[in-house]
Amino acid sequence: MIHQQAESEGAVTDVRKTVVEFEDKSVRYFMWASIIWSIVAMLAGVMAAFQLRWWELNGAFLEDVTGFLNNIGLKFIPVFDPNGVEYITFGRLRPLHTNAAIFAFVGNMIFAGVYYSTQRLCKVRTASKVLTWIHFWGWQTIIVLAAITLLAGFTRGQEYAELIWPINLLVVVIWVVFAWNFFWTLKRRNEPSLYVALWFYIATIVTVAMLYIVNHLSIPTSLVHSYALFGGVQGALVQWWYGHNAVAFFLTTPILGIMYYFLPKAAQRPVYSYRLSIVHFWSLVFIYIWAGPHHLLNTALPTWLQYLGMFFSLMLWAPSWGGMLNGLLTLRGAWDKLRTDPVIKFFVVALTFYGMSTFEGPLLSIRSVSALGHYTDWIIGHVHSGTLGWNGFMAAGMFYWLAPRLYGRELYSKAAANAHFWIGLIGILFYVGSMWVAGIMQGLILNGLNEAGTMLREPDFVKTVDAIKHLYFLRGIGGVLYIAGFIIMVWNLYKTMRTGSPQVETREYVIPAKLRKDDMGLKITFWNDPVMFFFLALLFLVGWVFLPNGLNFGALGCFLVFILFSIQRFKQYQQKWTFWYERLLDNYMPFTILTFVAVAVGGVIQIVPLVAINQAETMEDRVQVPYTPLELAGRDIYVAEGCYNCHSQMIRTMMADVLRYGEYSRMGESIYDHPFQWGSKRTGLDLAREGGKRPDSWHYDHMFNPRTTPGSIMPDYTWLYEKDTDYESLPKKIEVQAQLGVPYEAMSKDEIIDNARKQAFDIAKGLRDEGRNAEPDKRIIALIAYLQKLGAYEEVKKEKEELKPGERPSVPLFDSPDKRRERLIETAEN
Amino acid sequence: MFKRVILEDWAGLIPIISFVCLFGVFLGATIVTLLKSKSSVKRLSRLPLDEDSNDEN
Repeated sequence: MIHQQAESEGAVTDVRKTVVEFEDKSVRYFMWASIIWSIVAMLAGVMAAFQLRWWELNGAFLEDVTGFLNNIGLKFIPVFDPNGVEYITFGRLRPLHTNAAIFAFVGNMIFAGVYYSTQRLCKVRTASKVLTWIHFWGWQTIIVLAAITLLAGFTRGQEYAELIWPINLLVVVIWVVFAWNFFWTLKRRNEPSLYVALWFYIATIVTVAMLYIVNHLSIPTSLVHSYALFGGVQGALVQWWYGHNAVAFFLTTPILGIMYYFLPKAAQRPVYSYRLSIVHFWSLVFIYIWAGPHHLLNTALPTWLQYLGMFFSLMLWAPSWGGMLNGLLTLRGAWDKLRTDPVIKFFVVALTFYGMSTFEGPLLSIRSVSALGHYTDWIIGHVHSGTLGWNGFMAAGMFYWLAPRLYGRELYSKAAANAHFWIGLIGILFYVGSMWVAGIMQGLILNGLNEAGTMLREPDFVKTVDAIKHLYFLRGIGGVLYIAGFIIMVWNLYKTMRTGSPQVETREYVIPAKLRKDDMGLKITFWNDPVMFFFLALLFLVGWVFLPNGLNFGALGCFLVFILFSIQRFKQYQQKWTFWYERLLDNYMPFTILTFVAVAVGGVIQIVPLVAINQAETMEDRVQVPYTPLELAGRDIYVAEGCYNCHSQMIRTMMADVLRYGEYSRMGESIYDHPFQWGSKRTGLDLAREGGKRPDSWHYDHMFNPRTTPGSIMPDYTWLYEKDTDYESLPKKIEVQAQLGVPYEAMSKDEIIDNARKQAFDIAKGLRDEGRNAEPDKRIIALIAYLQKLGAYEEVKKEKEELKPGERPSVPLFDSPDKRRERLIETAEN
Repeated sequence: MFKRVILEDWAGLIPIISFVCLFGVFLGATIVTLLKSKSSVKRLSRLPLDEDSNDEN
């Protein structure tokens, strides 16, 4: 034991020395996995981008390429017949791109950063080598399985949640392994205080687990297929509660944690304001969760939820910029490094793009702005300023900082790193700029009305596609530049690796012999003044609202008195109150639990009322007619081909949408859709009321060759005319749909299959009568059946409200627009 | 008035409860932050740079 004089109190403290050998092999592996997958993700993205400019890149180009090679003498290469290239259509490639970018590229980058920084912040080696390697290889296995299944057309049909249910289970297992390893390391730490980066890692781990599990709840119909538990409007809310918070807690919070560690390390300056990081953390993790509904503005989502999402998204601007400023101002006194150090360049520009995206996001969350931008490429531009600017550049900066330390030598080429920076930055500007222009153009053209507001200025949707195709080309160029920058990085880091050698870093720490940490029980976590007073105040407030007359004012009075009492108590015991929070930072489990409470509240308050109240039985006005077995088969084909990537099924409560597509979509009209297919992008038309608009023969011709609509960029779907519909799977699918609440009549297995075959036969006969060579068992017939059903609904009979003499019908404040309109008309008539 | 809120405009409660929670969290975090001791703040903000000073030891 070494006795050492403590600095401030003059007391003698027993300390001990401990030597820690860090486990950095896994950091190297995660880093290289991230780099390799980044190239895969970006190549898929560039391909998808150019597919939107040249539809031939969905498969037809292979015929041109092999034909050309044949013509120049390479006769041994067979000329490729493009019919049947289903694996690389946009609808299948885009999910591969998003999943690879988010989970493969950024996922591995997060793990590299977390494992490196956590060890050093905790002054202890990672708890378990076994768990670390299960984590690494398990995660790469997930990615490979994802790539295979997504291109094969096996999908759940929800964005960033496409992977089929066996892979979902594997994700959960590996995430638990990661969490176990991480929290075990925290438990074994030699540094009692949890630094801010660790708070963000904790928030990431618990929140991603919650989001992923809830949104992926499904009932399997086979090994490769399932139906989501939540359908229709419920599915929409849960999906975007997950989807937006996949952005928040997978693409933002762990990267903020990484920023809070690596930026001070690179700048050799402490974070600008630790105090700001406390407010930043708690307000960010609390507010972010509520923002999901901003993806569903002006839709059939209940209005109160839309406004909730909007207001919380606007408020999110503040903590987001708090984080950005905290990062940027960390460089005060060290701004010269921006000129000399490529790592700082990447970090500063990453933070700048983070600031831009987190300003743009709240603006887009305003209902009137969303009316312009939703479904357009503006959203794509917004997403990519975040992913390319914030995530991509933070990754690059972190790798450039890590590689010299992991391989024991200077970065191979600083000039190449600078070149990467400038090429990548120009790439981002090309990408984002072109998408801003394209999106706003689309929005203005598609929403444009005549002066009277009664007619569309441009009724032909395809004209907007034509107007922006050059911007799609520029976007593709932006992507090419960005990936070129990353390829330069790959070369640079590879040379650094090859000319260096893997380092084993050990450090000697002097730590107190008795560490005061993790001594806060659950009781004191919750049974303390600040937490109890908050919940009691909330209870009194709720009592004011819920209790009958008389008692409610009593509750209000109690609330006001209680507030005064709390203030008095705070003044008396403020040291104790703040000491409670100080202790919280030395106790990882209570901290984790309170973080989980903070992130769970938003989901509970938004989702539970919607799921409890807005079910099929309570739908007013209209309710969906369930799909027949054949139509269900067709729907599954629609989902498998990823049609939702380009087509929406949600007519918004906006005049332009209604004039272009028909009456706005009611909540009940998609209530049985498992999964919901409201969509988030209109590269093609909205299909919510497609049923009956065009004859079967039009769809038959269109899916085989979309160029029957001149100017269309849709891929050919010729394999649907060759492959058979899977009738045998229909009984199980109908059974699961019934379990999920779809009101199917009882049918035997044979009845289901016969029903489907008969409907297919009738459709095919009709097509043959019109001169098409249609075979009833082919997938195209099922798809036509589904498309012709879109928009079918039944009116819900409602009971007339009995009024007492002199009483006016009630017109609730938060209500669906059609219900309000009907009530107002009733009032006027009465 | 509140009976009507409860029976018909129930959804209007949700934003109210939400904002109360939000301001409670924000206020709490702000108070904790303002009352934190300077020495503690300085020590915690320097944690990532600790190992660099450890080298000098």
